[in-house]
Amino acid sequence: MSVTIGYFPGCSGQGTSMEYESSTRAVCDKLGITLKEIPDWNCCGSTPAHTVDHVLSAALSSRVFAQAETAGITDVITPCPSCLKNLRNCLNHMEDPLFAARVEALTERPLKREHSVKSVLQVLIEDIGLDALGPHIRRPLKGLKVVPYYGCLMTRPGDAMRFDNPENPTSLDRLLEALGAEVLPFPLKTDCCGASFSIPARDVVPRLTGRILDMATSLGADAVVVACPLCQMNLDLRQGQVNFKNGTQYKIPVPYFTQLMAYAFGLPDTAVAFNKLAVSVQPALDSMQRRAAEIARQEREEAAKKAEKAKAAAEKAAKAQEAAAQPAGGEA
Amino acid sequence: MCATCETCTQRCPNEIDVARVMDVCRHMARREKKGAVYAVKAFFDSFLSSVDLNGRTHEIGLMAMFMARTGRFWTDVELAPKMLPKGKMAILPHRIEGRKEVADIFRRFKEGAADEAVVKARLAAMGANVSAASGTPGKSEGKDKEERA
Repeated sequence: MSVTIGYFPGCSGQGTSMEYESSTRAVCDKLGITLKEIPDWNCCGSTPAHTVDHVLSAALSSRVFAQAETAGITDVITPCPSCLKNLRNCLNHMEDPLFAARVEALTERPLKREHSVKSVLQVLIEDIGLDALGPHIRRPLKGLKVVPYYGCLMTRPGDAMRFDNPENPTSLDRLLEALGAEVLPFPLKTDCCGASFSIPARDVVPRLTGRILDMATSLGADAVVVACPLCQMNLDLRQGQVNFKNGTQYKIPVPYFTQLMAYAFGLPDTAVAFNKLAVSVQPALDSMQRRAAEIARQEREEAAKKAEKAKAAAEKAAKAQEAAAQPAGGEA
Repeated sequence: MCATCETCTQRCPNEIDVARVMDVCRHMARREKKGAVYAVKAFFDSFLSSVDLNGRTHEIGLMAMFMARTGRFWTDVELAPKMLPKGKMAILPHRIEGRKEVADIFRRFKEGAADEAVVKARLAAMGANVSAASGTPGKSEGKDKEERA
């Protein structure tokens, strides 16, 4: 299978979420998705833009689409849910002619607006399909206990995002299961982590992110698997700050789902980029291996027991046959 | 404080886009210069200044602007040793070639080029021109009504 699709990496991919970027590119390459980067793309404005003005926010996204048009790109995917929301909203709101005219008054670049925008996760689930992953898995995640954390914007609001169940999404659960991991039911999978308040309002994140880390740890998860660069920063990079503020000692790794995919596919370490995470993922991999060995040992034991049982049954049957044959011989 | 998590919009039984209402309240507060939490406004302004300047966000630059605006010079300094050695924070900004185009968007916005009244008036004038040229009066009126709806 081979598809070419427009790609909007988003600002965080250039720095704070570089491991999401490298693993996304490697995984897509492996699955036959050619990513065509939008030339000279700009920032979508993220949350700050739409809190200042919706037309300003849409104008920034609109320039991204105008750049896509110059390269002949119509379908765009992005790994970042916040970029996704802004790009989607731009197209949705511009269906109103007055809104579109106001946006174009800022950009002075009229759009054809033939675009579609999806998240990388959505494309993997809906267009590539989980069955396509199987043949690429070299290192199954057997024995790894994970909780999936979707964050706010991947599925919400449902009318705009049009992906999975907005209140109880399962796409990431199914993807991780397809990689061989044990996915624990996670009640906080779409609760907010505090987003960008981590900088201007520092009490918010320790409370909200603290609840997520608390729940994940109490469920016995080895890792919290994420799909959003901002959630990842709050849960991983700021885990120390959260611990300090709350008096806790959590030490739970927070990899991107694409990193686990790249690891399972046996892709190079530079693509998997576990070394970029603040909380080391190694203890999780160690306990995965221990659990996998334990599972294998139990399976072997069970197989041996079964074989023994089968042998005993065969012997019993043979004896019974012999016993049945002897009296018959005696009579003769 | 609202983090735009969209849960309210998702769950509203009357299909009110509550998160959008919150956004509009913020827009109104800005217009009337009544930001309740100065640091939040300062952070969002710093973020957008960074985009205005470079076309993309530059974390170190925006943090410096935020610190200058709020005097919080200790913000997240403890995270620097976790990020800098991993190359997760660029010292220099990623400047795009079209950054002037992006700066123009911000400039026109500040000048009021996208103000509803301005754009409506321009559209009405254009509509009047079109209808005058094609000799169909009333078209511009119809268009105007449609836009207002």
